[in-house]
Amino acid sequence: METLSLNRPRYKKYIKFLPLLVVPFLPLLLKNYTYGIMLLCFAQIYVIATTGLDIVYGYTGQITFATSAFFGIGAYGSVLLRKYTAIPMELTILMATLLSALIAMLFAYPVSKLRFAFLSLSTISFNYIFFYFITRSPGGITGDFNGIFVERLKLFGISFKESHHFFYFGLVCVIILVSLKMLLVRSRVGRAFLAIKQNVHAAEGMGINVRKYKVYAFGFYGAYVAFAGTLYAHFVGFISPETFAEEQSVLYLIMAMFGGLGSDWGPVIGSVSIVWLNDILGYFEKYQLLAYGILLILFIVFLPGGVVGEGKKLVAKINELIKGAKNRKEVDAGA
Amino acid sequence: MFMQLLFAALLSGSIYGLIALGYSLIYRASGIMNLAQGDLMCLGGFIGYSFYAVMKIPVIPSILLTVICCFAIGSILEKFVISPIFKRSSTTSVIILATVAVSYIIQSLEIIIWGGAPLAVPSFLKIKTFKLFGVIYQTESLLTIGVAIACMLGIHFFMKKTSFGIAMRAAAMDPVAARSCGINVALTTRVTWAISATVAGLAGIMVGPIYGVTTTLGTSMSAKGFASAVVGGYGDMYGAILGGGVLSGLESFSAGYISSHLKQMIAFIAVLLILFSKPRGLLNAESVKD
Repeated sequence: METLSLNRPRYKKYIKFLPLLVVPFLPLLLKNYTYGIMLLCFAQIYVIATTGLDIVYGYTGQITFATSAFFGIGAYGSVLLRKYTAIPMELTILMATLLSALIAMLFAYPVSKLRFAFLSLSTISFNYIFFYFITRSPGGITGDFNGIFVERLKLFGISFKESHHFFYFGLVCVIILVSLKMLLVRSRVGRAFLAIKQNVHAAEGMGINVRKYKVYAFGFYGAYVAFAGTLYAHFVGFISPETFAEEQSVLYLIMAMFGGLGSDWGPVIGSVSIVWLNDILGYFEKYQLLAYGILLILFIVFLPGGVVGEGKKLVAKINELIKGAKNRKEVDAGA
Repeated sequence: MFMQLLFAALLSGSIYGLIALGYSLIYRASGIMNLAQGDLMCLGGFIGYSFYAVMKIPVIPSILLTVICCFAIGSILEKFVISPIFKRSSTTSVIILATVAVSYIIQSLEIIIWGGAPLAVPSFLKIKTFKLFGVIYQTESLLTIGVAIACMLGIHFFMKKTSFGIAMRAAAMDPVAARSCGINVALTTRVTWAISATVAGLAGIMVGPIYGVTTTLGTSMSAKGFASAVVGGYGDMYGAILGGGVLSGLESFSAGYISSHLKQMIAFIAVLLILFSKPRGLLNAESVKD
């Protein structure tokens, strides 16, 4: 058996990624369907945010209901910096992302000792505080409930205003950030995250500084989500508080869980599917929320591990069956 | 002014306390948080509205019918949604997501059945206001506070004195040991969910004449009730009631003395500070055995 897998050519390992080569050509295929390209752009933004959430929730096991607040810190951060100072947009996006990472780390420092319900409540409170802050901001700088219009994305003289232009910029961002996460979770830091998720006390016993790594995980989370937020603001051209309300935070959790927690492709699959699903459900009007709720429950009953988790289980089962059949053959031959 | 603020705090505190009580009971029985608790409250309000304002049934029978409906809804929810999921998957976060889905379904059904607009419920009592030491109070609010306190006392005696209540506490403490003593743990869990839904629904029908009945109230009430339960010490019945009082007190007094604009923000900042200084809530769940 072992020799078999050794002899197998290496390229076979990558064959399953071949269909991904279609992705860059999607805008050409969907040329007459601009709406579809726009949905893809939104999916890219959510992929980035959900990837960040997966670091803190999927890998480190820290549940958080504050994702839309960090999304909002990115969006409002970049927009307000751009509006009230003359800093170029490339820098405001970077500054908002770093600011959010800093806030997330400062928040994580006291929060790191909280668990489960207490952790959930602290993140819910954080999101409410952020929401009340942007709706009742000092001097009305955030436009309060009315929201603000935002300059469209234009970097280094290139405008990404149109969906099919933004798509390529988003794709590059997704590839870089998802690869970065893959490297991160396979590194020493990523192994510490997993150890914390599996057993905090055991991790502490092995000499892992739990608080430090939780702070790191929140830092990455804050940066990823806020970066997605800045892209959202500059892509849509308008932001208002409802997008950053506490209820919206659940959406990211649904995306992460639908794809499969703690996996490379889970956030990608989850975000793209949920964006599409939400769009289709939009046609049900009054029954949209009902259908969404029922689908969610069905999904939880039948796919509790998410698409990636259940897919892995299925592959393992099939392999087991093949192995069993092979063993039986060998036994038959021997007899 | 102080008396009025205190009265307002008591009113919202009794509502938060009732919802938080549901959170605590469910946490003890199932080990999860039911984020549909606020929506169950609104659903109670809508059902009460149908009985009292649409069918014109007198006050006390309407309330009793609502209570029966909510009890049934709670048991159905546990039997057909929560326990099948529990049997299939082990991660608590997935089940919490299922309660979010339940909250979506309840909100959507409310909009489909009763329409999206807020409904005004006619007053339960003939006398609208009363005066005490020169300050005017709403009679309805006093009734709500009274019902809430009676309900809390009722649950206290039910849990302490009746054999079924003791069985429920035993099942919550150690399901395996309880089962080996002959306690039907599946039944006690179901009744716990039913009681939590009933308590929330009762809060919903009582606030109907004061705040009106709306769908949108559910999400914020879920959050406030959860905050109360956790701040008090999650899983502790008395902590839940204490937490409700603390949260509503923070809201009312910051609205009265600082700014009604910022009351929610101040309350949530205070919640964060309490969590940071007492990471296990005000009543430590481990040192206080209910």
